[in-house]
Amino acid sequence: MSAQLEIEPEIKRAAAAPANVIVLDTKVPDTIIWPVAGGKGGTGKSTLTANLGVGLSLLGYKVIIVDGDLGGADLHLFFDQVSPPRSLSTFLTREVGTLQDVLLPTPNENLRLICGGSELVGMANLSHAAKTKLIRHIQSLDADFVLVDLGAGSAYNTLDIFALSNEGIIVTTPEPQARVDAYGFLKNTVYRKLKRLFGRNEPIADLIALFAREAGRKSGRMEDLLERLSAVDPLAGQEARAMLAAYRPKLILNRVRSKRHIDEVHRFVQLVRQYLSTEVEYVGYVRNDDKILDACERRRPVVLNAPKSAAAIDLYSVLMNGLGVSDRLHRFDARHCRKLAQVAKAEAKFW
Amino acid sequence: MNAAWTRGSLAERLAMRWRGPQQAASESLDIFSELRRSKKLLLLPNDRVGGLFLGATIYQSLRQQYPDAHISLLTDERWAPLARQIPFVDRVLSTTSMQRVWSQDFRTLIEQLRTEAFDLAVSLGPDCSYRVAQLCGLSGARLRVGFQREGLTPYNVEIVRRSAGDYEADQYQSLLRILGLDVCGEVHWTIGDGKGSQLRERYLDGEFARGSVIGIDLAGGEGRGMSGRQLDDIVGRVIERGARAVLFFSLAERKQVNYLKKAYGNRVLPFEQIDLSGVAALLQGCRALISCNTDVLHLAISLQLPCVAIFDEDARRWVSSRNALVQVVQDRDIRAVSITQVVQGLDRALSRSPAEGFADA
Repeated sequence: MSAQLEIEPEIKRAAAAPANVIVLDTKVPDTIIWPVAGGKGGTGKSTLTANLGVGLSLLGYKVIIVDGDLGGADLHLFFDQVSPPRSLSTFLTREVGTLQDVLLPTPNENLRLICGGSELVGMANLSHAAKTKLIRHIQSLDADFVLVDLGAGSAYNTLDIFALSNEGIIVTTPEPQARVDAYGFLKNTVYRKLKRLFGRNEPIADLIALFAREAGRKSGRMEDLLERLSAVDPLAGQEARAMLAAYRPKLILNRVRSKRHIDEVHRFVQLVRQYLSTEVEYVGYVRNDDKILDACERRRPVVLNAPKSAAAIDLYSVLMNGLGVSDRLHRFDARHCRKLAQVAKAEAKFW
Repeated sequence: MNAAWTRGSLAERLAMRWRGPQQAASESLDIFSELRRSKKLLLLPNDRVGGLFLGATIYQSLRQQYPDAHISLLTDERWAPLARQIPFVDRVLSTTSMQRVWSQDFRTLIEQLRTEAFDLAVSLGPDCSYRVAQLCGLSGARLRVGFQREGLTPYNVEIVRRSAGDYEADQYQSLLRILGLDVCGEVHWTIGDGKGSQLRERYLDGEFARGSVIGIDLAGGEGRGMSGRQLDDIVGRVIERGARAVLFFSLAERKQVNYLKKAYGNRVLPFEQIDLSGVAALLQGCRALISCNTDVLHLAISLQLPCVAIFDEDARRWVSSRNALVQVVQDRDIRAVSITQVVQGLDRALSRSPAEGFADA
């Protein structure tokens, strides 16, 4: 702690307030948006989103979970909402004005839910205007954390919602198919980001498109593209490098069955660094656990259904150690994240 | 108030005598002409955050008396973000209360204050800490004004207080009047509409948006504070009457807050007192505050919120007898205060509030 006299900047005097009133301004903590995607279906994106959301709310944060799986919304089933009264389709069909209006409460005051709207035909293929509106409204949601569960695949809608944050979460499993899909998804996000960055710079956009079709397909090295960009337009090369440096997706390995799987994920991270010039942050793993299936059957998140199960304990570690979320009530630090099980156990009584 | 706090510990006094910075040789001054021509002012409120709120009238009065002067406010770094929002001062200087008077940092601070060449330094707290009194005395200002202190002469203009039990803000005002300066009317604090309401909406939504919300400050301050059982009773009674409770806590009360959260689930909202302007924003969403510690209490009083103040000492010092919105519950032993006294105090405070009554009360 500094013991020096700290000279503060000169204060601007308030002109509008009455003379005998001091108007205080307050800081509102920034909203952190974590889109959750993964490329392949069935890797556990929705399960992890639901459980991370509950975990964050148990740590004392205001959380909104958005079911952004436009084609196959099922996140509400983790919260025992069989037929949600309001959903994204209510918003997209303009029955309500804002996403705030379709928020559904959960038994935890800190956690609210926006259900997907798969009952609407064509929901998976949103128009550009509808997608832009949805993204704008997700950005304006007011909470400490907004988790967006995205569907499988690399559709533009999914990529654009994932691009809401530079720190989106990729969920993969140890199977090679899942890792290949996760890599493909990451590659698509990088190209999509570059394309959007240089959308109005036609020569650069053409160069990126050409590289993606030809050279990129062979070597797959983003560094080659960056060098080409720098050769054509040094400023564009710098911008692209800065964009990639800021892009720090997080990676969670789900359904781990052996230690070998964890070693493999480190190789995956290296591969992404080498070929996509992107720094993926591996934030932890969740063990394969039948308790997750039991919880799904009971339509509850595993952290509440089996707070002391291996999967739940891994989730606490992912939250507090990997994602670096601290407990707002100072009950325990990241080293003792297992103690979150006690909080979850107490919370489960209210569900 | 602890004697070592106001008069300094033996180590502090010895350090100041042997190695501390020395005051400039005193010279004869015409106080009133010095006051008239003062252009650079240094204000040192009481160390606790309450001092910052109670001194608001003084800052405004001095601003009106010296519209062209440059007014600096020296406060603890913890309260500096709040102090920066006071429109009557030009600059906030922040320091830390952890600084020892024998440290090199303290000497550097004194040197920096002296280079500012203040014309007038006013220490507002009648029993501010030894450190703040010394800072004022050694600031190098030509006029160094403060309340007379036993065994300590840091100022060259000492004001004798009428009675130690008087309301603190009235004592500040008497200091100005003795100097022949006018005192303005009361100053209130409020929260700006934009972010304040966003913060309230974020934290006081759902169940909290439907019923009355009562703020409860769990911190005991310098005293013993209320027992866990008393706090449990108070929170329980608030919830029993259909309201929700916002529990303002600091690190020291984390166990208590966790117990209450476990016991009452979603009907209580714990909120850490790190950012006082955030506390103020939530207080504006509360119907009343129950507190046995003056920090959040002074903030709530400044926001004109009905309050129940639980004290184990003479409350006249901290709560104005003119303020009908504050109900004082006093007992020599704070832990002997009963839930009935607190609830009756809450009902009285709410009945004097212009807003509607509390839940089913």
